[in-house]
Amino acid sequence: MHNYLGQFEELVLLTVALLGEEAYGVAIKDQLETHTGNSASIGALHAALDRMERKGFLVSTTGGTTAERGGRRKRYFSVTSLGKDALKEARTLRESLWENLPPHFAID
Amino acid sequence: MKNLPSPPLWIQRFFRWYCNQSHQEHLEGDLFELFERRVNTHGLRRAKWYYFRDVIDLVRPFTLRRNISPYYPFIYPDMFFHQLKTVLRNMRRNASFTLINVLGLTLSLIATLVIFLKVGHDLNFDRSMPAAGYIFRVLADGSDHYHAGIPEPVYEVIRTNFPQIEAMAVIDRNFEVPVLTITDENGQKKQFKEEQVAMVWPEYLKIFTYEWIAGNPLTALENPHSAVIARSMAERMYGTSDVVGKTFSLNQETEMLITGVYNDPPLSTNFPFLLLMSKSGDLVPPWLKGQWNSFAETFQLYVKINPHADIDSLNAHLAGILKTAAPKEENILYTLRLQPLKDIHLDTRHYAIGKPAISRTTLGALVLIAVFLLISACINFINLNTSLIFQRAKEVGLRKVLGSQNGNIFRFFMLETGVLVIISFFIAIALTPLVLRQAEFILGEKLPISLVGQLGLWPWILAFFVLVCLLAGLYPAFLLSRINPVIALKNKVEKSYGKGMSLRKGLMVMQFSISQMLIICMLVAMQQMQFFHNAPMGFDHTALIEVKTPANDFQKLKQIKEAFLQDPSIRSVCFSNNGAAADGYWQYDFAYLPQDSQKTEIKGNTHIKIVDNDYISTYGIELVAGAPFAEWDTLSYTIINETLLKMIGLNDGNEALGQIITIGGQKYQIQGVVKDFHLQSLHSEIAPAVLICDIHNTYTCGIKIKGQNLNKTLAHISFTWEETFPGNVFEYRFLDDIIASFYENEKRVMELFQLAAIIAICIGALGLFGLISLIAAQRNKEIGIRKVLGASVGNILAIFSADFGWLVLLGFVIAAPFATWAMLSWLENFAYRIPLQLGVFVLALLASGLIMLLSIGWKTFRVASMNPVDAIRDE
Repeated sequence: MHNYLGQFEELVLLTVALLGEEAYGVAIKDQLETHTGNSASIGALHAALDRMERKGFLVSTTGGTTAERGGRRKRYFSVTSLGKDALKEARTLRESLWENLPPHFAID
Repeated sequence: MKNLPSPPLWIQRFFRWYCNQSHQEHLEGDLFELFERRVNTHGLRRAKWYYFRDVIDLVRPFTLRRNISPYYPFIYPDMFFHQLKTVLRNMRRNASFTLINVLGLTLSLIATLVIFLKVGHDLNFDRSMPAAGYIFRVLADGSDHYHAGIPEPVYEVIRTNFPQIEAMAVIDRNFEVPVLTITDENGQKKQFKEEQVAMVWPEYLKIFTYEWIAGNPLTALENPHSAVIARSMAERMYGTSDVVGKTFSLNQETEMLITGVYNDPPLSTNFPFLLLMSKSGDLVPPWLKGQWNSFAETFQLYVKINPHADIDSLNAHLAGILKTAAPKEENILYTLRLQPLKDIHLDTRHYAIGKPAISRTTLGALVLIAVFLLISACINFINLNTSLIFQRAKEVGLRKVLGSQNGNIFRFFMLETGVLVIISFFIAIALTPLVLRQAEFILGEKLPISLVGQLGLWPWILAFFVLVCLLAGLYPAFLLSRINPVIALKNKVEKSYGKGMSLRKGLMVMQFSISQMLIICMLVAMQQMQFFHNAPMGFDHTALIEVKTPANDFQKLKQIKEAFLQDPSIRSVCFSNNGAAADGYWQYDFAYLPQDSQKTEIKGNTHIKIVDNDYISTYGIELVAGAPFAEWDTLSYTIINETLLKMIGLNDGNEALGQIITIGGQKYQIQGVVKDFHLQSLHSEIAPAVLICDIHNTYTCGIKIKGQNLNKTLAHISFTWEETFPGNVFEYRFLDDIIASFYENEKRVMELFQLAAIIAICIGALGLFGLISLIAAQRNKEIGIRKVLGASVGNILAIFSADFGWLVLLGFVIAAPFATWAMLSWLENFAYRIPLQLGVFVLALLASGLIMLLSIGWKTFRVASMNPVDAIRDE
């Protein structure tokens, strides 16, 4: 169970994967908002990022100094293979559940 | 750039304060990016609000979590050892400052440790005794008199009315130092004198617990003429501790049988007796028997109550008991109460039977002195280290450039303090036992306490160590760790840290006021001592010796008096109960009915002196009316003093002559009035007193000597004495010495103040010397320029001394009221005392000014007389 992903964590992890090289705090937040249509709390987002980093699903690197953001450096996240496995596992779990649904639940 | 909006600073600060290092930068960046975007989309106000909301939103466990600091000596031992090495190098580089700091700290630590041990010793008296909570002393206190010896009839009242009292015993020390004689196997006699002896009731051993080596405490003193002995004394007398069944002779009169041996009592006990003898025959001397109003402080009653008894109701019952238990005609002016065992040593109002008591005030003063000395040493430390900031700034700057943070630098300087304090502690702990051995004259007793052996003391010492480290190191470490590296490396520290000077001045004022306070106290105590020695006593105490008489044998006393008077170098001889001025006193009640019978009877208490017919002339007491006693025994006549004369409502001595006064139930005719003389030390007012001529109750022989050859006279007296009282050792004391001994406590206080003042002055002077060398180095250039512009060495000396002179003056303004208050309350202990004189204060101010000048003089002079060119040239 240790690598079980919560729904919000799964979304964040997917977003990081989606953004690739450009996955840092504000970008992830924007992307999440466009996809879900809801505004994401910055505290919740970073808490999830920190948690997943400590679980080993994510790694982060510090970017270079630029004149943007008052000179403060960005922290870029990328998904590890462990993170990828966790995403896959979540997806298989969900699909196997879908496949075993009774016929009247089928949505077509 | 400047016009761009930015998020509120205080919120940023708040964020930086709570957020940990690893998340701070990128989160702040994200917040800033969002803010900038929101300014454009929502406007500045909304953006600020959102910023605030987000900062609050980020107060989460992952931002609050602190990473483990990389500075733990045992996680990164290399860093620790590097810092330790740097500390030692710095100490060597600033060797003179290290020395000053260690010296000052060590001095004050020794004083503090000695005081700490002394106070601990005094507060722990009899605490370790089992059942200490159930043992009490019975006191009889009136409105203005406090007695630890209760009247004899009260013993029976207590015994019959209080079932809660399990055991009661009187300790009797109403005798001179006894001579103990033993006879060994060869028939050789050996004599010993021992002071720590008491006569006790058998139940004494049920109240007080000893560690028994031999004998049964319940029965050991049951029989008359039995004694129990401490191990050390048994070994001294018999060479062994196996002495049960052996005998010794007491004053060559009574044969005593040893029935028990116990381990020596501990150091901190009110009952340090090495020999306890059962009280036999009369429980009290005849003159105390049946007297409801006679007190003898050398008979003290101790009781042990049932552990389940209610002490409050017991005390209440005791306070009221004499209203019903005493005969109606007795005028009882005191109430009884129980005093817990643990309070006895701290009670100076009542006579202490075993060891002299010490008041809480004295202990408080000792602690205060320790605190003062410690603060003074810490001030030195703080001042020197904050002044070193100019020399250490570059080091700190460089450390910071290389990545040290404030916390690291702070801990580094605390480590430096710790090392210095540890060194001082080691020296102080090693020296304290030596000082304790020498400090008997101030402490009043030997305290052979070793610090190292007492495990219980070490937690205290550790706590004390931490306290000193914090007190001395906290501020300098804080200040040094805040140095801005840019300013430090540009050599601009002096400008930006000039503000620190005001704190340093404040600390110096404090230091000056501490030493001035102690100087004033010392001077006042010295003056009062001087006064004690020079104040007229009302009688002539020069060339007068007092000897305790061994027996009230009328014939022998008469015989020895005649023998003495044969010697032309002896002017006169008299016998009395306790000489002229004495520690203790006998007190009776009196009643006087004025002649015109309209007035009511006057009642009160009066001191009583039992004397013979030569008493008044031997002591040179002035008779203002009537005649001295004419014969050896004129039992129905009395001579009163002027205070009593006033008390019975008369002004002229001649009016009193022939009148009748009742003393202790007996009628006496007044045959004379003497001018007031001091019956006690100058602590007490002169009390009403009567002289009664009764040779049978005298214990002291006063001998007035004239002529030059004192030794020869004394030898003759001694010879005659031992001839008349065979087996008795002739021991005399000069009355001058006896009077001086009244003031031993005050002498000790004076010596304490002297020592404390000297230590405070030393510490202060050391600190000043260190500080002035730093300041002189910093103001080197200023001095150079002043000299170039025409200042003389004298001018420069004046500038420097004026700076410190103001501080001395300010210190004096603080010290004077405190010292005045302290010394006025000290002087209140004495009925006869000096007024506080302005001269003392002036002297204290001048003295500390002079000491200040001496400490700064040499260094300043050296700097001032340097060639200005060397100072100004800047390569």
